[in-house]
Amino acid sequence: MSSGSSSARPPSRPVPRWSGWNLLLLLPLLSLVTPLYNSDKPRLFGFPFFYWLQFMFIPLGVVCVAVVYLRTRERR
Amino acid sequence: MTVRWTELVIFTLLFALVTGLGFYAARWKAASLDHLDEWGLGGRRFGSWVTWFLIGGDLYTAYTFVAVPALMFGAGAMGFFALPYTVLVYPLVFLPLVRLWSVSRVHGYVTPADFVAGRYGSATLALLVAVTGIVATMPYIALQLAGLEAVLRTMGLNGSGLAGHAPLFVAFVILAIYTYQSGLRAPALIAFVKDTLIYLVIIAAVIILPAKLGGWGSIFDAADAKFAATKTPADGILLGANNQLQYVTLALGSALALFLYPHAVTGALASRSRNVIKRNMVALPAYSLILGLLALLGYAAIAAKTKPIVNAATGRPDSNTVVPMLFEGQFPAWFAGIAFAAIGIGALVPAAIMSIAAANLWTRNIYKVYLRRGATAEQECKQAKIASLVVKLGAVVFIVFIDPQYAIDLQLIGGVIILQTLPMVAIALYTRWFHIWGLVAGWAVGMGWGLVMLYGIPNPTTGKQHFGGSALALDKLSILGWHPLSGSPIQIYVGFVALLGNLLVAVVMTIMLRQMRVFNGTDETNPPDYLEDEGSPRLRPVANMLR
Repeated sequence: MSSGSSSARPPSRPVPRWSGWNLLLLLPLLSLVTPLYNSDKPRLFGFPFFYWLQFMFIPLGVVCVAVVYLRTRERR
Repeated sequence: MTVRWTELVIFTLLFALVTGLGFYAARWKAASLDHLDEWGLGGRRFGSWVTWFLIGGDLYTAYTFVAVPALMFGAGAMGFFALPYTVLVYPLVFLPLVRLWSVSRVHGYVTPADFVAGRYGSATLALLVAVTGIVATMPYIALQLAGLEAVLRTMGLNGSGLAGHAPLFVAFVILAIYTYQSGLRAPALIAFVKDTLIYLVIIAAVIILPAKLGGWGSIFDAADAKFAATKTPADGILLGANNQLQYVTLALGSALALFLYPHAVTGALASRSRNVIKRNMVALPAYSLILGLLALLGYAAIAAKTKPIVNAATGRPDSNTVVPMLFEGQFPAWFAGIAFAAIGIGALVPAAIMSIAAANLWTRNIYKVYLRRGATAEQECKQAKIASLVVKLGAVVFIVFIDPQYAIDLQLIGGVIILQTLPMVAIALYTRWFHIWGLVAGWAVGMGWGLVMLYGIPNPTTGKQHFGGSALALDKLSILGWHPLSGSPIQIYVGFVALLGNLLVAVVMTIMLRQMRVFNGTDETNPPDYLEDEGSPRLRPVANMLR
């Protein structure tokens, strides 16, 4: 996808890539706060809260990384 | 001992299929396999899909299928740390990994130690990273062996003594030969088959098992009842007061460790561009979902009243066999055979990738630097192939001498070791502030302290006094004989403690050495090197990557 576009770039131009969007990558660290989810109730489809909430962190992580990827993608 | 023939025949057929693929792989996208870049990095032409299967096949291993469910079966919620671990890892490594890819392509680095050598201009530091990587890989491969062996024993190949290990040995020799032949292409191609099998088995398992066992609700209730009936307060379907810190440090420590392993770096460096890596960081969590569901099979096994097999070699119940036995008890024989093949192949693919990566380290950073400076490309590749065999043997030695309570501790011990390279590799992607000798001192302290702590952890099931696990009670935490947290029963992951010690020493030493203006090596990299992408003329063409 990117192969055609990047060859047009001047060779040694370093692009400053820091973007505020990168901070989103810190959000999944919430999954380390055990008191947040260390309980049985409420259950969802039989899964205790401890388990289903942690499963929910997977889509959260995917969304955070995907947004950062799309927002910081190298432009042509 | 009865052999389960149906399962064994299906297992053998599928195993023969992937072996054929392994040899065929040598011709896939053909190029000269006498060249390390071809043998060891598959020519660095892997696009998003191949990379996804490769890194996935490489990260989700017997660890996921055997070791994590076994820990859930035995200890409960503690084992679920693997889920936050795999949630955290991708956001954490997203930025550093693409920097590593770029700088590696500009300077022709193939291993993490190459990078350290270029960044610090220090052969000593590179040697430490190489040796650490090779040693840390061995227990991780040993875990794969344990998973494969669990499947073989479940199928009835449960002999005692040395003869009992024969089937495992045969499987491993086959693996060794085709890795030798085809290099990284073999596991990359097999990973497709492996993942297809795994997905098939998982989907069947997570739909059919809860239905048979009365739904997820009653599975959790059965697990709860089992843990409530045991005397130890440490288990249960929720975390207790003493193991939350352990849960957090295990998840974070494992996430920080993962992409320090040479095999994970190899998978990333084999991709075609920065975007391939980035897209993979978005897509790889699909495996996390599966990991979480597989972990819960440990509870399903409790609900199904699965009994682990008594290992004829040790005479004790082998908790690694709970998932295979669950499939054996709940599914028809032919499907159990497919599941066993999935687990077995799922252990072999990463074992191959890991041994190749460790072999790259040996060849590039030890053999070429210390033993034969003017080695030709063929000699170098030959060395790597031989080294991949030696590393596999090292794994066998590990499994014989280290016998922790849970197989997962093999991987966690590997984590304690590899984490000590974090300041040299990961932090160096961002800053050259640390002093070479500060890093060396930090490494020495972290490694020494980590191993001393591991040595002191007993295994309650076997009665052995040493290397029984990876969790340390803060009560036992000793800083040169001083016990600052005496009396506290709270547990923590050894790797995390050792890394903190490492960083502290590295910082203090660096401040001192900088004050004294001790020479700190020459950095051959420049800030723009960390940003170059596919198509840039500054990237080295694959053909002359080797200096």
